[in-house]
Amino acid sequence: MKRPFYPLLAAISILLIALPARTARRPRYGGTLRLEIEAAIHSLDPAVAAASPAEAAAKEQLDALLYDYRGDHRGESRGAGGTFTGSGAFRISAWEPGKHVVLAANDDAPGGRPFLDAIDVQMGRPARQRMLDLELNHADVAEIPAGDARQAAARGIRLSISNPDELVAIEFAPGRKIAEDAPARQALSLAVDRAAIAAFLLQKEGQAAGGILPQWSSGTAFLFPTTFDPASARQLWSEIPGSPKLMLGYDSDDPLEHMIAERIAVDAQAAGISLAAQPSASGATARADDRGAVDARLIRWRMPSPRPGPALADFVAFAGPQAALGAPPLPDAPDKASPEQIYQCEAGIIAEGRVIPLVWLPQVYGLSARVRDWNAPAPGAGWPLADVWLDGGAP
Amino acid sequence: MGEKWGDRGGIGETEFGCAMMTGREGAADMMRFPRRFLPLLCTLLFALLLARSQANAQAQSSSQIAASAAMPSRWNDAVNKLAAEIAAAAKPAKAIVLKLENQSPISEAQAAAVREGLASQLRQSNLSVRFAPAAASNPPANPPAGADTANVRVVLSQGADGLLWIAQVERADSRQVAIVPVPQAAAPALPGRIPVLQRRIVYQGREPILDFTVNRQGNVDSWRVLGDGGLAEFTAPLSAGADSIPITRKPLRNAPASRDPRGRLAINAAGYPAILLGNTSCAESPGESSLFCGGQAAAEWPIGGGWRATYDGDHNYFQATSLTSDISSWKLPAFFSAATFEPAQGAAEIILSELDGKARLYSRGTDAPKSVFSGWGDEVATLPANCDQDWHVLAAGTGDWTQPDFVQMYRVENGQASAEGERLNLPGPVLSIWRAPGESSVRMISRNLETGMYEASVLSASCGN
Repeated sequence: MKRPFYPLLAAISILLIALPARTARRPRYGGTLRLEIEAAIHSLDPAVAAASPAEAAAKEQLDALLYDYRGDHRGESRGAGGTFTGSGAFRISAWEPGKHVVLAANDDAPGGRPFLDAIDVQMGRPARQRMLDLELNHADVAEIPAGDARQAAARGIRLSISNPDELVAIEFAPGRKIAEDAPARQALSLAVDRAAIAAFLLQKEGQAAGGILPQWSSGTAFLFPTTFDPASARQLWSEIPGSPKLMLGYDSDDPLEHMIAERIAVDAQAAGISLAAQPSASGATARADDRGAVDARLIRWRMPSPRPGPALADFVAFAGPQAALGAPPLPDAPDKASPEQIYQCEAGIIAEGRVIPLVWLPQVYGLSARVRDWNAPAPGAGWPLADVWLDGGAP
Repeated sequence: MGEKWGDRGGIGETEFGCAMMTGREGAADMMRFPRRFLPLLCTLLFALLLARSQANAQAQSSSQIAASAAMPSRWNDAVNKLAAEIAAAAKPAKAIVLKLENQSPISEAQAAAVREGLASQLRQSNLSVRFAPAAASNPPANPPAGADTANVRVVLSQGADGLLWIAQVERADSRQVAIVPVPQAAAPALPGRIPVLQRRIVYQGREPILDFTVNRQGNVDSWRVLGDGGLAEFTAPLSAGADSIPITRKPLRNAPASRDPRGRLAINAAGYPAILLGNTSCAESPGESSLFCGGQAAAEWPIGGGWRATYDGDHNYFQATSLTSDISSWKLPAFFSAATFEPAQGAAEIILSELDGKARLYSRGTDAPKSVFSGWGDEVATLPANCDQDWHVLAAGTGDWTQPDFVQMYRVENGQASAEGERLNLPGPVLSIWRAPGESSVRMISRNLETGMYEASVLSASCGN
């Protein structure tokens, strides 16, 4: 009897492909890591400002690889042609603005030469393409939107998920009539179903936020409830004279903000609140520009430090003094703030109601099977590519 | 250096006793008994052993509970402070309904001890305390707080800065929050007893550890801990707490930069203590507060078994050369770690964890490996057992430094490796295992991913049942 062996052969082949080339523990030197990111960086010159928050964030990550920031010395240096060489773990070896950059290991890097020989960065890659490239083993590290993490995991992509460190919130514009109405702000806060945003829009990869800082950082987040009470919201709103309409702005280039704004509009409508979501320009100046046109705006703030004191101080600076009106200030050295001081400041901001926290997001990355020693970056820390190595890279 | 690791990690006398009774001497004694008593004696012996083992198990179990339930003394101040703040916030209430939730990594037994401590302190403040039923999801609302009763929800929480104990005190007309930061309990540096392969954690620290030694003189331990930033030296009476030990730190100057630093506290060829760091050695100058690294000649690492190694400074691996003149031309491949044997007869065998992720056993003078071992990690070492004449091989697991790890003991006979005993599971990666020439235990550096601490441990082999 002739027995077909092709299925067995195929199964063995799949098994061999799926298995990593090596099962080692101590780092190996060599290899080129392929990184894909969403943002398109148009200049790596530290003196040139980025055009959007996404570009600024990505540029900051690459800067951390190129420049040694230890101490006060920025570490940048220019070659004969005015080009940047950097003094960090890597140096630029090829540069195509907005599309592609190759970083080569710096043999004289502080802290030792990186294990990787090079990093090949593809910029401006959309999320769907990044996931596809991970599946096809055309990329080693790629950013994954938090809301796509479950889908990526279902497709067999290896994921790295950080502690939630990015806050999405509603920020009221100072000076707008409806924004200055405390019951109106409270009504909107009660009308938003944060748990639904976390569960459905973010596919459970986000956490509903009642406070500014996540529980893992402050230890007190559970003291700020995420109450969803549309009946009370309706009651509060009905007591506001003049049937006002609330305009909520969001970054038109940010699909997550778009989805959240639409969801808030639905929740508000269900509570009898007249609210319209309005797309607006992206970029660092958008918040200021919007203030004449919208009553509130979605904001995204990423913690610069895992420590609650410095993180909250940064948030106060980010949100502006209006947000912290009535809140007891943090000490001048926020890293010395006591848990009580941090809690009181945070409670003051929440009580003021000019910022309505919605959800916390983690940073999610897809990794190929050969990536080793990747630790999810902590707030304020860059991509750990100087310490990553490739299983299969030549020693 | 004179390290005597073994004298703090002895095995239980009960196990030795059993082994002796079932050994040859015991059998010879029993031969003198009349044969008809033999079944009775065996039955009695069996019953005695059974009862004793059960008693031991019960004693061990109860002592573990007692030990874990004990609240660290450094938490007493936090308990007192929180109780005082609760009592102040609860005024003028005469009674308290207390509910405690543990959202921190401390054990439930410790949480229960905190609860009892709080209740005790509150009662001393003339407050009547009763505990809310465990099923109550939101105790401040159940039962309703009146003028005479305050509902208190205490949450044992944790943030990035450490433990926080938080009390929400609710009365009929007010709600207050009290927050008390709590000093972290020092991780216990206690021996962990593992059958066959024993691990004793001897030092823990936040900074990376490259190597460590301890000498005991009388009742005092003298420690040297080498990190990538310098050498820390301290002495401690065995009963001293970790907080009260003065530490001398000597920074390393001109140290080679590496993202996978290797360092060792060794004995050089002249018999003096030496500090090896990558491909250099670092010297202590009398009266200097720093250690200076560098020199013309590449540092030679003693790896035992008649071998020495030099470190490739551009990478993170070693090259071995023989100290024996008759096989000095025998060149071995590059490796990450080596397991060398020291049999009296001098047969030179060596196991190398090589750059391709496999470990290979080489016999004296032959270029081709005698055996190849797959599935071992990059850290290997040999370990003599104190109950037999055999040498055992320890190998760490595979993966990378973001994952838990383990150490498995193997017996290597005729080129075949067979696992011995239970693997020693660890909550983080093994960064280094090695045995100094002449020592009967292995030094292990690992990282505990749950606490973030680097841990220095001593591994030894016991011959348990």
